[in-house]
Amino acid sequence: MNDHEKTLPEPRVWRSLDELHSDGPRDMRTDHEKTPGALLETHSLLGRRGFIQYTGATAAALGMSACIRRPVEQIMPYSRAPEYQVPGVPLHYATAVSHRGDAIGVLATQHDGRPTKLEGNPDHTGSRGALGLLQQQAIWDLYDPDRARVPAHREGDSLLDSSFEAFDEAFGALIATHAANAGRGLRVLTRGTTSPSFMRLREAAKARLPQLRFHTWDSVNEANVLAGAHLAYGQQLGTVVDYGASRVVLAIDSDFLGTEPGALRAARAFGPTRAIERPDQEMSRLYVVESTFSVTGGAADHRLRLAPSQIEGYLRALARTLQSKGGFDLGAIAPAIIAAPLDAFSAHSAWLNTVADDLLAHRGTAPVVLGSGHAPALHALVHAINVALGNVGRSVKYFAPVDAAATDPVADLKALVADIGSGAVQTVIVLGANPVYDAPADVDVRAAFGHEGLTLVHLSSHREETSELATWHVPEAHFLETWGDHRAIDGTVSPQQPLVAPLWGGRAPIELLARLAGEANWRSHYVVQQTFRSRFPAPGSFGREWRRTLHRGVVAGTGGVPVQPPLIQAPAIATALAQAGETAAEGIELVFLPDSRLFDGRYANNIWALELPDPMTKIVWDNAALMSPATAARLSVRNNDVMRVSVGDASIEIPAFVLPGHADDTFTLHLGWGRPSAGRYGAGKGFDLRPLRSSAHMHHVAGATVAKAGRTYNVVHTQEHGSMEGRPLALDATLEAWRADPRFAQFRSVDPTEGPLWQRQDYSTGHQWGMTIDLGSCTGCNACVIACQAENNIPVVGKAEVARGRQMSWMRIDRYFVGDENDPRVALSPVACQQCEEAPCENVCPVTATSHSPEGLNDMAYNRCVGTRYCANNCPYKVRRFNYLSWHEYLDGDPELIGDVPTLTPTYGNMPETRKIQYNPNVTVRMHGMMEKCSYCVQRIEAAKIATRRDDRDMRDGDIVTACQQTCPTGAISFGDLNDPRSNVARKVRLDRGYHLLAELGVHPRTTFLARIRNANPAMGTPAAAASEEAEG
Amino acid sequence: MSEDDDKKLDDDSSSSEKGASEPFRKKTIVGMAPVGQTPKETKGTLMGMPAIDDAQVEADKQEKPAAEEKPAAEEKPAAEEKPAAEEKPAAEEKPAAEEKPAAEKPPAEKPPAEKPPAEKPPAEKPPAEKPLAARPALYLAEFETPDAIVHAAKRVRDAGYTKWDCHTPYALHGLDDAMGLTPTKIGIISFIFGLTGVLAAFLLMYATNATDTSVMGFAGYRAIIGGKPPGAFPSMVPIIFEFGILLCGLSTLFGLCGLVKLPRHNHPVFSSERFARATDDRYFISIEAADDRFDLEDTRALLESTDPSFLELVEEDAA
Amino acid sequence: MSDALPIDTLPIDDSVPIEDIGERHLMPADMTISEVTNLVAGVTERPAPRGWWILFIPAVMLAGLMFACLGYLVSAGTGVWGNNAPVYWAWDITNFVWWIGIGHAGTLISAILFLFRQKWRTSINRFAEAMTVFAVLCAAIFPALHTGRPWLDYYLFPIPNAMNVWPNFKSPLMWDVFAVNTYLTISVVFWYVGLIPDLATIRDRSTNLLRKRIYGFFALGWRGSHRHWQHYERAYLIFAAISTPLVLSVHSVVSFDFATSVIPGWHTTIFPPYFVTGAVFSGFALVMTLMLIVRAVFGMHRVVTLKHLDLMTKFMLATSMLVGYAYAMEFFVAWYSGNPYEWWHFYHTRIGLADSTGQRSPYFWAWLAMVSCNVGVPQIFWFKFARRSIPVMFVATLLINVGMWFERFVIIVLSIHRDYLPSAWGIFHPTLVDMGLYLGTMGFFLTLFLLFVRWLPMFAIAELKGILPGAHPSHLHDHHEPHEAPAGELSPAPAE
Repeated sequence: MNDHEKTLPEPRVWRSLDELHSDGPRDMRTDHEKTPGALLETHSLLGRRGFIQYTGATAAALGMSACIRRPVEQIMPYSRAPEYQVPGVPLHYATAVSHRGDAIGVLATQHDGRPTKLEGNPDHTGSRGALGLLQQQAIWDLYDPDRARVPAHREGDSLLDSSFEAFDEAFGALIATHAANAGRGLRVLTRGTTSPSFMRLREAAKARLPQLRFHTWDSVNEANVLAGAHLAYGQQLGTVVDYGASRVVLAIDSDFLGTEPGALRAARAFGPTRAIERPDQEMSRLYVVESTFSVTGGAADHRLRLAPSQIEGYLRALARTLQSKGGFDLGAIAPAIIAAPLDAFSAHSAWLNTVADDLLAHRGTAPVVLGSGHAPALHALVHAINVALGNVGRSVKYFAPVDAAATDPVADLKALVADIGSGAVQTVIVLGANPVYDAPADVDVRAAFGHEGLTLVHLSSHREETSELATWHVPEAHFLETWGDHRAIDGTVSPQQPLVAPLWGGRAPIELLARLAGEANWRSHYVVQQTFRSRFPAPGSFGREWRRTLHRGVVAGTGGVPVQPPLIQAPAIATALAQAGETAAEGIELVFLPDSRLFDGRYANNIWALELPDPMTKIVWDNAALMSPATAARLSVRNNDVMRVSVGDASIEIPAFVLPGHADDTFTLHLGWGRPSAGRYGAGKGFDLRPLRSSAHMHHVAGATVAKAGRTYNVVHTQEHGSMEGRPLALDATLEAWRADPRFAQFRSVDPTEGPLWQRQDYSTGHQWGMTIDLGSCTGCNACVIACQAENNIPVVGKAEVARGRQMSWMRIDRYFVGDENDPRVALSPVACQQCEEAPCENVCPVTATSHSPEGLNDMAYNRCVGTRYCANNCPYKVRRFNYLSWHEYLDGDPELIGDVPTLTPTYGNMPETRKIQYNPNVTVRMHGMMEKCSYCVQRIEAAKIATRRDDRDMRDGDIVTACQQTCPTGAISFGDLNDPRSNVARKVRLDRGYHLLAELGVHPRTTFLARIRNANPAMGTPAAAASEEAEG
Repeated sequence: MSEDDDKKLDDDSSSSEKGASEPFRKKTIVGMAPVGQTPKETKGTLMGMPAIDDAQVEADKQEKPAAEEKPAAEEKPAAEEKPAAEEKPAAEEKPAAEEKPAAEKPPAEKPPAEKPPAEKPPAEKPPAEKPLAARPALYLAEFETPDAIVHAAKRVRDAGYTKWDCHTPYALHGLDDAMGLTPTKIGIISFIFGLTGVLAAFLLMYATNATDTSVMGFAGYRAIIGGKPPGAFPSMVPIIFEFGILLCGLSTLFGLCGLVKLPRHNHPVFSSERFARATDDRYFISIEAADDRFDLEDTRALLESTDPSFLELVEEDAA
Repeated sequence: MSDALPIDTLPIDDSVPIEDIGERHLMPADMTISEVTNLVAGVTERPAPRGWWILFIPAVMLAGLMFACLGYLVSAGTGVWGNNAPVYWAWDITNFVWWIGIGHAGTLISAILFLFRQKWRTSINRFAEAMTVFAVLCAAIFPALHTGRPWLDYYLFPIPNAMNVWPNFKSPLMWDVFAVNTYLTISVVFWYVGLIPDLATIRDRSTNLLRKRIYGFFALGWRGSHRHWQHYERAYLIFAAISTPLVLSVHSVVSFDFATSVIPGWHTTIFPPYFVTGAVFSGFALVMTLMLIVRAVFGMHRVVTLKHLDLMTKFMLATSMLVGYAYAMEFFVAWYSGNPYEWWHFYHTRIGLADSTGQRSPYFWAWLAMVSCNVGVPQIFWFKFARRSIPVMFVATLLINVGMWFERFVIIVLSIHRDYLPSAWGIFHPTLVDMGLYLGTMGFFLTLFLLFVRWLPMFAIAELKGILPGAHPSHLHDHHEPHEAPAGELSPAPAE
């Protein structure tokens, strides 16, 4: 023992300060000998002291996990004075996100430093308080466990984790070399941008490195729209259709309420024109001509299915018809379209003549809209038509372009690839884009990026397809992690302010650009401030203005000022039209559309998006070839039959799915799926369309051949049955029918006239919460579903479990087809818990886990629930959701299956820690074996009550906004106190088109639906009008 | 010997030192005394006997004397002796004895009932007790046919015996009259408890679901359930019914055990080998020595006159 | 039990025509009471016959499977079943109702037939009671473990707690809790009380001390004292009297789970009698199935004669027609009520007419299976040959139990898999755990049952003796002198 001591470096052991400072002999073993049990403790992992140490450490760790690092830069609370963080009190910060060439103002909710929810910024013209589906789900990406965390550097064939320091050094060196040769051989590939800072730095970089060239790439882009405007007016212009000011809208292959540019902006304006409260009010009318069945088509009053190749013909024919009418002149364009054949549309003569009459009857308020996928010449024609209809300046507005330097991404990418091939390029810096996945089939980016001696720097949130070829991969910071700025299409400029410092580190595109531009301080905060300084030139004003701007989320005074477009360039359009011309081919036509959830694939690892039902098909976790029943019958395929779809010699295999109302002989294929390296959730989900998409046919292609592959693939969707079976569920009527019979809804869904045998509960006093959902303005866009999921910590269960019918989302948008199978209209009804006053679920719960609050809420006491599921059985709306397995604990995705039985070990590993950061602390996270359901966002109700009590004031209408109501782009949802006569909801429940779902059961729901009114044109006499009559009869 | 036993019993007795030892001495005396000449003081103990068997049914209700009797009863010689000797005074003091033989039997059967085989292994028995051990417990007469035993039963009944019984493999009809038994009271027990269950169930449901009054710190909760009145009676009916049935059934079971004084594994009849057939195919009549009319000679004569297929005198601890 | 019992000395065997069966020929007249003892008690003393082992070993294996499935169920969650939305209840509750239903025959036979003085019950009641107890045990597994968090099931009992949260006594599920527990308790008690004298018999016959001790312990020291018999008989009568309404109430309460709901196909007032009849029907079928097995395995042909079987087949024929009536009446009500949802359910989901989109419920065949098994098959018992042929009975009773399972499946799953909102319609597919658990409970049941027939008197010895010819004093039936020697070899004249 002694010599053993000798060998050891003698540690300084002391038991008291005295002993420490005294020179007394130190006894190594005293601890063990004098303290009984000490020996054991030191040797056992968890002795008494050990235990206490670990407990303390754990407690500390837990504490830490709550406080995510906050950005070091000063950021500004939106709604409160900057007395900073009150624990437990959420703060809201204004920020912004860009989408398809437009900016959307966002209010981000932050709980104790954790961003948990995104909402619309009321002060921003792009969102006006609402958010679209894609922005709602974006918060999940911040916590995506598969985000790249450190830069990676290529060693041989593999990417090895590196560090930001190493990257900065390497990048600096890279820039230095190119600074030396004025940027020769240096290319930057970016996505389309809306950021003033980005543009400023782009110019600065070009100035510094003259030979540096920028390329843009987006597989889903607005090039045609911009080119069309340019063609029509000879200059770059941003086009905004003001649907709020429109009486008649003709949307030609344009899903302007869904995936088209400015969809959120459009929906905000369009919704109110559909939600009329009295029969005598004016209501807008929507004609839709389209090939697939889009959300917009669902909202249409009249809808015409046409194969995409016929769209051009229709547009020309319409122009010709218009021209033939009095008082409409396309001028020099007329000759170009006079030859337009009408006979192809003899079956749809009403769609030419009647629509033309209707447009002419509403000059100035009758915009014609064309889908962004169609050729610039057609867009130019549409501009000309709008001019001729006098819409310009009234319902169609033009703004200065967001990015005047925007180019055609396809041509741009081709050029880049060509240059690389010619060896003229040494370095490519890819900022965000992922061309290896989504470039056209005939542009071999993979080969180009693999080019000998090419240095490829890729900035992206994940290590994705393009990253695999990169020399350096840099994690891209989420927009909630970094500074930025965005210019909306109408000119509104908003700062993008971060809520957290990058969770794993990460760079913003502008930061790399800043270094290219040689900015000494390239941090996004500084860069953005630099951009804004030019806006606040007044000396000394910057600080104040900057704070105000961050506070409001928009730069005061920007935006909303349309420009007067120059005269239309008729001859140019005429020549363009003469050259353009769709060549109809035999076989199947394919339409490539951005997916409503994954967009172009950038959300491919977002489990909310993956499990969100497609608005029309209700398909989850997959894409499929959508076709009309007639086509399916002709090809004799049924759902889930895998087909080999070939264009030329390229082909893919994809399952068939029948969508009533789809154009015949046409398949709709949604982009963004089938990404091999999307991340643990999205990898390999769905089917990649890349081989079929060529640079000439980015939107649609004709002449595809299909053959059955002879196998089936299980496409999972959440709504097995699409017919109402004649039941009064999602009610609608034409405007005439409504005027004739204002209370038709109550007559079809009848509230019981006789009361129950017992004394009914008295809800006449206090707050009585209620909700109205206006089916007239609901487009089924799904934003509310995701908002609810984000707000209420609703788990995702995975494809296999959805297939078994266990999806958890509290809000379900029921989609019914009405009328002819091949050309139906769609009836939507968002169904969440109806908060029945005499709830059947409460009667049968044996443990009183669900009972009624005095304010009329059907409450769930989660920790009381034993999970008998009796309540769900007895719910006539089937809106209760049961946690069959521990989704939150280990799944949040598929369970692994043995046979058909889930194992205890999940496919995707345990719930990632990051995933938990997003949870809303005010909502219980439910374990398995519990029933859950919509609570009218009771946590928000209570928060509002506390606030009013603190401020010592009465509850005002609008103090409480439920998650679904808050985000609804068309404002279809109202919520409030039914006992408050001044409240919005109290007025709406009395509207005569209001009715209760399954009213005859006498459960007295608190949710009131407002029946949809279809502004059918009697002169059309199309199925839409006919169907509504038939449905009523 | 008495010293040892004294201590042993003291230790065994659950009650206090004094209380246990005092009656015990009395009994050793009684045990030594010849039949019929029991000293007066024993009467007290005898009167105490009924209390003893109560003591086993409902131990807690018992006050001192019962607890004291326990050790007393364990002392075998006394136990065997007393019943035979002391029955008369008992009968006199209880004229009702005839009506309720069921109620009367306990005192007689009890003492052996208290014999704990574990506590006192035969090996320990002092030689002095041997003769006592041979005391008659009962006469056992075996019959082969239902008619024979019915006939015999009537004879025994008419002879005025009270502590006697018939043993049959199945419920033999007509024996009730033949033995002059009074109808059983078990129905009353069941009815009362059934009613209790009904009331209890109603009160429970009403108090918890329809009131918020606090009982012992636990309050009910008037939850709003499906908008229905908290105290709605119709929904209570099923549970009221079921709970009534439950208590009724359980009380019937325990009432039965109480009335027939089962379980009891050590009745003297088991000492007879032939008695095994009582649960097979033979019919027996047993007349206990505890009966005050019991007389080795007369009783034997009576039973013989009923032409039993077999007759034996079962003695204590013959087994 | 005190009505006249004429003594018949003719040796009667199975060849006697069925028509003249009164109370008289239930036991062969040459049967002596000691033979009854030997027959029944003997089973527990001899080593088990090979047939017993052939049944027992697989049964134990299946029981093991059940426990495995339950363990997995509790650890992983209800998701290991195929239940989903909207089919929140599927095989779990189907099996529960099925088992509970089977559990009704026992009490019915012991109680109701007892009250109606049906002496032929004595050959099957012990049997049926045991079956009841085991079936109810199996049934109880499902409601207890179908909950998402079974470890919290105690919430279903009115336990005082700091939060003052109490069970909701308005919930039919609470009624179930009380009904099933009461039924289980009373059935066990009833069964055990009946066993006491027979346990005493075995005790007195047994030679080895251990058996004596064990049986003796449970026999409570029964010594056949008539003073005991007097109370005992009355107690037994009371049990019968309370069990009769109880057995009727239990399945009524179970049916309330559905009848009180709002779901088309569940919300039906005919359910209580419908369920009770079905329960008796299925219970009788299973009693018969097992009876046939045991009768063969242990050679009990003299105790359970063809006449008993014949009576039971007739009973089943009657109940099957009652059930058939209920089936028909459901459709009538659906039509007569004019409720479109009800109408839709019966005409599309049950008979499987295609709906507006040309789809039909994937489970429409289940309804056909249930009707053909429950109403069709038993009709064969109109024919004498069927009532006398063991194989026919065996197959028929098995089919009836299949059919009764489908009845519950149709009611539960078919009703909720297509209810009010077509958008919420779904379809149910059972998983391996579903199937394993169902088979497992069968094994568990069979295990308990085989242990019972092996170690306990499977017939009510004392009661059987009570109905033997000459079991009671002659003067009770004809007014002769008590001394007069009764006829029958049971009673030789006493020696003078």
